[in-house]
Amino acid sequence: MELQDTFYSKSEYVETTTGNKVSRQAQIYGSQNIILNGKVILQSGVMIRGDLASVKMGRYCFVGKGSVVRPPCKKFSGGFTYFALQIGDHVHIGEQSVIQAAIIGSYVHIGKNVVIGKRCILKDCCMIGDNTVLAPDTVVPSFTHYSGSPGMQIGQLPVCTQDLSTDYTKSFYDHFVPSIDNL
Amino acid sequence: MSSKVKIGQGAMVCKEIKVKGQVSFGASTIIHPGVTLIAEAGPIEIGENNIIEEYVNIIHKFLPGHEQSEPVTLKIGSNNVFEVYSTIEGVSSIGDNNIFESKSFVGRNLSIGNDCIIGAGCHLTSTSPIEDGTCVYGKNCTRQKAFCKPSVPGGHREFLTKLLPSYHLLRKNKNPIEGN
Amino acid sequence: MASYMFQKTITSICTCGLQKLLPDLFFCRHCITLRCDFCVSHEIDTTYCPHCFENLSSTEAKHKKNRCASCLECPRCFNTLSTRSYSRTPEPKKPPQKMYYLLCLFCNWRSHEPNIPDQPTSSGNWPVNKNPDDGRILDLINYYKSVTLKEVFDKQKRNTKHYGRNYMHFLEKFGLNAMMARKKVGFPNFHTDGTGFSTSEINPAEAIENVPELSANTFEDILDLKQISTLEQRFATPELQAENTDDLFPIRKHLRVKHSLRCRVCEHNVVKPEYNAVKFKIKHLAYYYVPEIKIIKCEPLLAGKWSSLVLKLCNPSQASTAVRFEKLDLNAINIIREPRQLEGEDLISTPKQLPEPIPIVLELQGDIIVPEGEIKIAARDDTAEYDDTNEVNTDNDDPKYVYWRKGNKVALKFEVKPNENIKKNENVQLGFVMHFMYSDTMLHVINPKQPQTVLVPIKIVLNLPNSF
Repeated sequence: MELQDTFYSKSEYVETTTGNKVSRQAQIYGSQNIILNGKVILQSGVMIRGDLASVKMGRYCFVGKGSVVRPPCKKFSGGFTYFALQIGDHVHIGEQSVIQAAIIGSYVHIGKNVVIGKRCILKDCCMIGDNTVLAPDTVVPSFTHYSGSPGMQIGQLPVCTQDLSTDYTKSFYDHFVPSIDNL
Repeated sequence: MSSKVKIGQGAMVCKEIKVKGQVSFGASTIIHPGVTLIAEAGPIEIGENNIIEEYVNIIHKFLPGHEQSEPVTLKIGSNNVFEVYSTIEGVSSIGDNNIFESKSFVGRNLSIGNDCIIGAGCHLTSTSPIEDGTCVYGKNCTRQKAFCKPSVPGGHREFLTKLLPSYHLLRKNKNPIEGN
Repeated sequence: MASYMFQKTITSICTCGLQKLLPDLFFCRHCITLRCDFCVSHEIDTTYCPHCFENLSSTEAKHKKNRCASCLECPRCFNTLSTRSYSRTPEPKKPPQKMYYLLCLFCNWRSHEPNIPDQPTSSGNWPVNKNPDDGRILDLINYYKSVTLKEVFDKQKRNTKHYGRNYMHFLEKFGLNAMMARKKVGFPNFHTDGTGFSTSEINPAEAIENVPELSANTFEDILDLKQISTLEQRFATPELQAENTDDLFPIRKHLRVKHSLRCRVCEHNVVKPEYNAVKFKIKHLAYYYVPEIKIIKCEPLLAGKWSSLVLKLCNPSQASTAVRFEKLDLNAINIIREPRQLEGEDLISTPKQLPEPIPIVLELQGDIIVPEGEIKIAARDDTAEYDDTNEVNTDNDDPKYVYWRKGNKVALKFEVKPNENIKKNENVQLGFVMHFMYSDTMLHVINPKQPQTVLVPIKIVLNLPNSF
């Protein structure tokens, strides 16, 4: 099915020069540590903790309502720190998800209600199904479909996942339009 | 219902939280923004050295139909960690040194002992109490006796104590501290 | 993406008769037809560990029984284990030593539970429980290998022809002097003819009289269910099958495989992955050649009445194409074409036959009116998104069928009429054949002729939801 238009009220979103659409109800902390590379959509209720460590997001990313993007922490002999979170391009994060990964590659699709454990590494072109719980330190290889609790591989993705993801995220961004009437 | 918040010594309570009812935070407790605390069925007493992360819901309500009952205090012990999106609803008491992982849900009339780990995404709705040192994990909420006590890193709290004031507005007994 | 990637709204029928989504199909450029997962042969490109991404060659992998040497799985929840360290001072005078143990971050299983000693190195030689019957199994395998070898030699002996006794000059002629020289000196023969080959000895299995009996309280003891391992945990190590959760040992992680795919008929590669990256050396997917169909708008379906359906076609290739539609004839649906050849192309080998295709059983629950005539679709242009002047040639378009046209996309109007007897909330299944013009660009480089174009038929099945 072709994507239908998703409408948002123009007063609710701030649009930057690089095409980022950030909701005013999104809670962004530590904005000096957050880099959004352009055409990123952050819906309402999203919380990005840039105050703990730096957060980088690639182009055409989408973070659904109520999701929390939080850099992971690690305890080691020298002490305790939070370290940077890096998200690639064309990443779609569903609603109400908790992302505490260390690296998320490009062309990744994360479903709704997902818990990505601390220090996880998600390689390019993978998919995390809805309601998954990924244990901390999990590595998700490319072209895999993970689901369940603990997250295990349940399937493989087709070879053209990169192009499918690009088409999906680009058309999603194009269809994310302000509503015409002022409601 | 007006909110009455008592903040202990050295506690860091961010301003962007939703509080309803009487809540007291113990010493050195850290509350991240986005937390919801509803104390309709009585006061909530949160102990010392806890870490409560974003979007945690601690709901202390009466069962629908029992609103006229006596107020009951919900006591939460010390050194607990409540990770993102965990929900505590109508629990009778929570002990010390527990870890409530992301999106865990602890339902009505459960009492949590000490040193427990409630795994990510676990929904606990039965009424059998969680004994000390139990580990709950998996989608079936399998319970297993943990081999040893979970370590709640003190370094974590120290790091946050240094970091939070520079980025967040904090509450301090009705006089907010100016942040960055 | 997740929901509509797996939703079987629009499927194509592969040459073998299966209905598949377009991203799951491959397009063989030499046979000029669709191939699905079953019509291609899978070859192992590389084996890798899904956790540490260590690449192993197939011989190494076989030697290690397709398991990773360094990654271990928790026996309770099958999640990958992490190593944790702590410092220990064994003696007051020696410096503190770092000891490592295994910990599962999901269910909190530790390597202390089955009493595995802590290792001094992080890569540690974590003990893996050995199968107590390993030696016996190896003896049996060796014995049966020698038995098969003996059978081969016996067969050879029966088949060899025996010449006369004086064959010395033959040997000299054919250079078998080495063998004669060995015979003269007195060295034993090479075992090429199997003489003197004997099978290895093996102890036959012995039956025992006394079988250990069950204890008297087996049925009366109160079980602690937390101590008993589940079936899933037991089957993970079938040679051991520990009954107690305390005896569960960590399991070595299973390796994964990267496949390269080859068309079974013409033996040309269809998909070939690149080493260690998400890119591919060869990537002939139907998604890159066949115009993709998406439903834009569908009027609510009413039994026995015509509703309009708007489909969007998107041309993914770098050459312009033209599409033609045809009704799906259920009687002729099972006729499979012979693999076609382009002019001037040599096949690598004689085309093999695929197994018998599945007869396609389709229940068409309605009628569909498809656009008539040929509809051209422009080539894909990646710079079009930056170009504001979108020049679109709509002169030849029939407004009855073409809804709109933009770049390499065109929206077409179809009419559907579900059958009278359609049940409520049942999906309406319709089909049609789309012929698209495939321009071959392979031979263009070698042969300075015009690229050849071939009309390729694709059978499409639409599964329209009825609860609109």
